[in-house]
Amino acid sequence: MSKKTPYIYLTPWLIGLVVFKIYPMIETVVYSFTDYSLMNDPQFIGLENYTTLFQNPKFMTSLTATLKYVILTVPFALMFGLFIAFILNFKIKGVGLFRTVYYIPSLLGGSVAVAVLWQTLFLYDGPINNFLQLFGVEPIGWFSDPNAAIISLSLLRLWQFGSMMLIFLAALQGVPEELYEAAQIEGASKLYIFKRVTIPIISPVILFNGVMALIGAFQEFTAPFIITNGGPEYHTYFLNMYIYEEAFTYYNFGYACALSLILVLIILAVTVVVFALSKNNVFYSD
Amino acid sequence: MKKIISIFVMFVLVLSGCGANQTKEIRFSWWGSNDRNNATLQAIDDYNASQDDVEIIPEYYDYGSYQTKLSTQISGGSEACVLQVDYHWINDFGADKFYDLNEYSDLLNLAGYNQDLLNTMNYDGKQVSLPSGPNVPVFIFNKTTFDKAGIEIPTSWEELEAAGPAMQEALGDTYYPFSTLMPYDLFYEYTYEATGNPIFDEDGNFNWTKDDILVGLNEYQKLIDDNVIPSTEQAPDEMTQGDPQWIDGEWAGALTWSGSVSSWQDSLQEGDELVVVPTLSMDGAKSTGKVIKPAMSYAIADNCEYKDESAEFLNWFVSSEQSTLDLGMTRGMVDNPDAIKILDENGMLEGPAYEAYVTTKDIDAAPMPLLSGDTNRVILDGLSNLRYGSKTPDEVADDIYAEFTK
Repeated sequence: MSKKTPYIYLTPWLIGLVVFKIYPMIETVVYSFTDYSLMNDPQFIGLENYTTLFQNPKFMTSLTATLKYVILTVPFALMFGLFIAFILNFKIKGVGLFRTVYYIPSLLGGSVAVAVLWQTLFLYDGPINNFLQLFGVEPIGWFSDPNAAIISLSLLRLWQFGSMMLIFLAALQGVPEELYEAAQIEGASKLYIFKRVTIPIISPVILFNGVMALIGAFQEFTAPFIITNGGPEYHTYFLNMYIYEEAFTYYNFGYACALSLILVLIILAVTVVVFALSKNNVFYSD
Repeated sequence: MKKIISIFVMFVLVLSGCGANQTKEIRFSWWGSNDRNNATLQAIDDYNASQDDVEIIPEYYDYGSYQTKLSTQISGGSEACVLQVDYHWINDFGADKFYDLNEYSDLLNLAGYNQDLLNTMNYDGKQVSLPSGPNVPVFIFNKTTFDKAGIEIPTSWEELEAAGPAMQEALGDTYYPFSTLMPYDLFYEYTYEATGNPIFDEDGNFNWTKDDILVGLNEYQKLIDDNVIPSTEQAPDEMTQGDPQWIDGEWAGALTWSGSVSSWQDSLQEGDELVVVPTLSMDGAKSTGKVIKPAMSYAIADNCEYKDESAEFLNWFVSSEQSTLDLGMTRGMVDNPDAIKILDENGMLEGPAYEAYVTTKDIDAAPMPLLSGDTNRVILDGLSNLRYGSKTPDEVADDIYAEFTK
């Protein structure tokens, strides 16, 4: 095999990377400095899209809605995924079945069909409210109450914890047994062992799942688009919805590209902060 | 080597044979509900069966996703040859994207159309598209629900306001005489009817005072307060035909376009009766409040490879006996004189769509005003603010006035 052979095998993937990822990213940056309505040629306007963006109250509304969603969803997704993985790590009869069942929502994914199903479940006279009424709870306006709307969307994301749970499960199964034995011999409680042994050992996986959850939450689109349409009154009008509407409803493609770039920078900034904070909180085996 | 050459020669011969009998594939894209889609597919099948070298390829979507799809197709030059377009899209897409149908004036019998309606799709002398027929906002009511409540179908705004409390008292608090469909159009109709002022004057300048705006907003607030329109808990967003509350008759009325009345009737439970009320009267009305636009129009893309064949298909689609019988009133009332004659001869001028046409055809209606994205948004947001109680009519009027006058 010649030295060029590996590169030849890499070529299809490289072509795909350039054509479908790198080129569109460069185009996005270029168009963000133009007035481009999709129907006509782009006209260079410098930083006008960016100055308009930061002066537009809609941007702050959308950013606030997105941040609320991220803050609500990511920590709970991590905690819930880890909790279920911890339970499923016990050697009990039928645990394989439970692992499969808990993973199924992730297989369904955040598709349009699931979003429509979710919307039906949370209707004012839908099954969720009917169930809550059995316990004397008044019907909740899941899509008309701003706080309830964000919660209903967050619950959909939390419901799809299967992938995160599997990764946590693999990490938990990788913790050396002798560490647990040593801690037990020293008289450590279960909670102490979890805090001082388990968590530090799986901290790189927590970091990975946390970063992936953050990126996913910032990029949420299908659920708010289908379920709440950004409402009520823009309380679930996440940044990706704002980008989509500007591009495909109002044909402000250049402005939408500027918004996309700002979203990328926000995600990048948050990720950098998370990695910086991880230096003292994540422990690698090497 | 000889084997390779002979295989290659055979391959070339096969390809050239294919090219000689190549069928001209013409894509036709439209939006519609089930009844329209099925009827159109039937018409396309009938046309394809009658053609040797032309095949019409259908592409259809719901209204919302169709506009998005079409905009990206047009920007990329991959749109269908024959396109169904809405009135205001030409402004967004640009008239240069569509072929001048005056080139097929005789074939399409443009002279036989209602010239006012035809002119709505004429841009600086270029006939950009062919309007299918008129579209006027009309009120529709589920008579079955009103009968159950013992309430007469409203014929005035005052009666509509009174129907809110009466219906809830009779049937419970999940029943409303109206719905959240087309909120901007409802607000516009009331304001125009009450003030006599269209939103733009003849020169295209904004024509409303803040007091004019408040007239419509105050009425909308009254409809909310009197439980004419569903609460935000039950209807957080604009109603669709698929909403169970509409299907089951709990939301018993709406303002909709005359061209889509058939599909709203079809979406009700079997046996439920839909009635059309062309306009709601009011004391001291200064105008009918009505606007008119084409229900839809048909265009040929400027970059279409088979323009002649597309025009022939279009002519067949809007005027032939077979197509007219296939389509019926699923695309609303038609404006083509040949199609009207065929529908009449076959006793098909009936049903809610025809009723809507007959009751509105002589109404004095102004051309529908075109709003930009931001101005349309500020009115819709303002009406939403009223429904959610986050702003008063006065505050919303300030927002609307500021947006239109900035």
